[in-house]
Amino acid sequence: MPPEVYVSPAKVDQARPISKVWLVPFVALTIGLWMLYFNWSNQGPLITISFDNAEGLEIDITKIKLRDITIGKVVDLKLSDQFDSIELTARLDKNTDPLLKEDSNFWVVKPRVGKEGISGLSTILSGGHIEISPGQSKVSRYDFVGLETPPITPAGTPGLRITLNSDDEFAFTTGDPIIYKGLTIGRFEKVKFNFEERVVYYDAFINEPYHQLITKNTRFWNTSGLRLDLNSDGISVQTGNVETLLTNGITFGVPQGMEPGPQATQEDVFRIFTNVEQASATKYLHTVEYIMLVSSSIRGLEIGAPVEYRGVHVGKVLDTNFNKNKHEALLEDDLKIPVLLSLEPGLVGLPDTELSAEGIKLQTRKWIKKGLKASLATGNLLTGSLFVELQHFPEHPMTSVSSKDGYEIIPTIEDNLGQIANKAGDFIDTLNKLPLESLTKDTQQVLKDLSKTLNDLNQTSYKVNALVDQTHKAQLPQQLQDTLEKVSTMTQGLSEGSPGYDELLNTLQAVQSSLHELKPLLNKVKNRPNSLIFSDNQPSDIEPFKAPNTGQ
Amino acid sequence: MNLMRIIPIFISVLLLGCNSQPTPTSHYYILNQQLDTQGLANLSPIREVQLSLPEYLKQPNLVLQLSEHELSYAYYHTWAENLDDAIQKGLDQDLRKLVKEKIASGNQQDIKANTQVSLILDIDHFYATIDSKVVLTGSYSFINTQETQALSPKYNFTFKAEIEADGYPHSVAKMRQLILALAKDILINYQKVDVTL
Repeated sequence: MPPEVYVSPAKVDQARPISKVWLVPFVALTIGLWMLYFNWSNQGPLITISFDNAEGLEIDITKIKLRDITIGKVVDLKLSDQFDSIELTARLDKNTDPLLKEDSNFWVVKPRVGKEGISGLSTILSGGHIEISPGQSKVSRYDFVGLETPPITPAGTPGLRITLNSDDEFAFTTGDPIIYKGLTIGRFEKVKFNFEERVVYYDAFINEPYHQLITKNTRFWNTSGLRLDLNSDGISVQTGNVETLLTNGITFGVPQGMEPGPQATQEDVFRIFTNVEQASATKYLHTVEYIMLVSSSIRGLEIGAPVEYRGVHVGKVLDTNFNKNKHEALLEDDLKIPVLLSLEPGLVGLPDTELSAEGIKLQTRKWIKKGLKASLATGNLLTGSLFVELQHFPEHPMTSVSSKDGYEIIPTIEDNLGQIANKAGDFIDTLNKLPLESLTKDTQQVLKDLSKTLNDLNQTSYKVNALVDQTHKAQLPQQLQDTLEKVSTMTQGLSEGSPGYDELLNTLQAVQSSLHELKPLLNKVKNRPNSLIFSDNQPSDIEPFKAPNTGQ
Repeated sequence: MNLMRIIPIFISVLLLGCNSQPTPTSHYYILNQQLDTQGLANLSPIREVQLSLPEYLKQPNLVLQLSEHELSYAYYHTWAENLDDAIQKGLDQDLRKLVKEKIASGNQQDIKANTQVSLILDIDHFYATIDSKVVLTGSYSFINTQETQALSPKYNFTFKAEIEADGYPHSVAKMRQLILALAKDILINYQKVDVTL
């Protein structure tokens, strides 16, 4: 019987449900998930912008910048569904959502040369980028239409946006400046054409704090380029600032004597006048109108030409050929051209009231009876422009004041040129009355005597000339001889053996000797120009040496 | 070795770098020794020497021929006078001495002292060479003093002498001997000139 073998009881361990090996993929999965979360949590918003073309834009290269700080980059570029533009997708950095508002603007920054100067030169080397102008709206937005050019006024710029209009022949363009006393305080933003009114409207922005200058009574006028006026006041030159010399521009102001009025608002519309005179022309409500009948030419007399009383501006010409439709009498002899004038009490410092107008009317009526006359005067000889001048001529009083078509007539007197013509006529008449025949005979006699005297004088002159010639001929050989002697003396001074010659020879020899001495130095400088400054490292000369077979 | 020992050594080495080599001194030469004019008046057979030197000899630096077509101008060895004048004076002195010697030896009948003869002397080469020689070559002829008529054909000459000592001083002395040789040659051919022409 085999011996009993003791078998120790088996030690049973309970098998683990999951192997430790699984820990490795678990950790990897965790890290992967964490990386995904980290990446996702650090991503900013994804936006789309559409542009006309993708010039200068590249995926993963073109950056989105705000004030030259990169806040994102382009991640995708594709054509739009209609193929008429491109759609750009950009990923912005985290926490940039506040920049993306309804009125935010995007545009491509690239080199530009314009009226405002040169910009974007840095992008020549670095490549273009997209600039964002953050909006002020409270509504967020993530798809935008990009601007082709940078906005004239970035969103949120403090100031006042107004509307201007102009029916001038030329139009202003976006970016044209608004000048005030030489400062650019705003710019044109948009140009719109109203087809019904056939007037161009402009949106313009006035920067803070200059927007306070814009009031209800502000007038705008054109200051484009250089304005040269040739009118009855002479020549005047006007310009805005250097920018408006080259481009268009407007300026503004309140007409003299007018209150500025309340502050302008965004709804106000202003007209752009052609020039400062038109803008400043104050419209007076109460005027007194007269007619003057002109028998001379009215060429040069324009509507709006001033009416002056002793040089004081008191009114203006309203019409130069008034009531032309009633000229059935045109075929009458000596038709006088009616010119309609208005005298304005406001211009002479009186209040713009009916009472003042009535007072002017009474006063003028009194003056007409005492000899007040109207005449056309030349304001500018160069241009021939005329104005109406009122003057008193007490020697021509009137008994009554006549009227025509309901307007009282201010009697007319010849204008300056007419007066000159009359005076010239009088002068010629006086000249005609002179005893010219007897005067002519006397004059002829005097001329004969004068001719004889001149003949005598001529003969005397010949004789004097002959005498002078003779004297000269006698003196000339002596003068010639003296001159030759002087030349001979001078030549002897320089002839061989003379002290002058020896001196000259010695000088030349000295110069030659000096040049001879200078020759090595010149050669040295020629070979080594710096040898005058630096030490001379010229090696020793090669010298002749004795023949090998000589015994010395 | 501490720093205080290194710095003086370093500075000394730097200063040694600024040390320049001694510059060779310049030497000036005259062709003729003291002219002994005693008893030589009115002995010159020739009234005027019209000497023509090549351009390379008209500058003060001494010339050494290095090869057949290469010359070297000495930088520190220069003529103290115009070589043109020096040759004329030396030649004139030698001619006078030779005439005097002939007179002393009783051969003065060969010398027709004449003031109507001028010498046209063209020197082509007059320098030391690298192969230890001094050379004088050229040509001469006689004309009457009005320069209207040649009194002789053109005589070409080439004189050479061995250099027997190193350096330019000895070479200059040898060159002066060549001038004497030329004077002798001129005097020989002068005797052939028909001065009656």
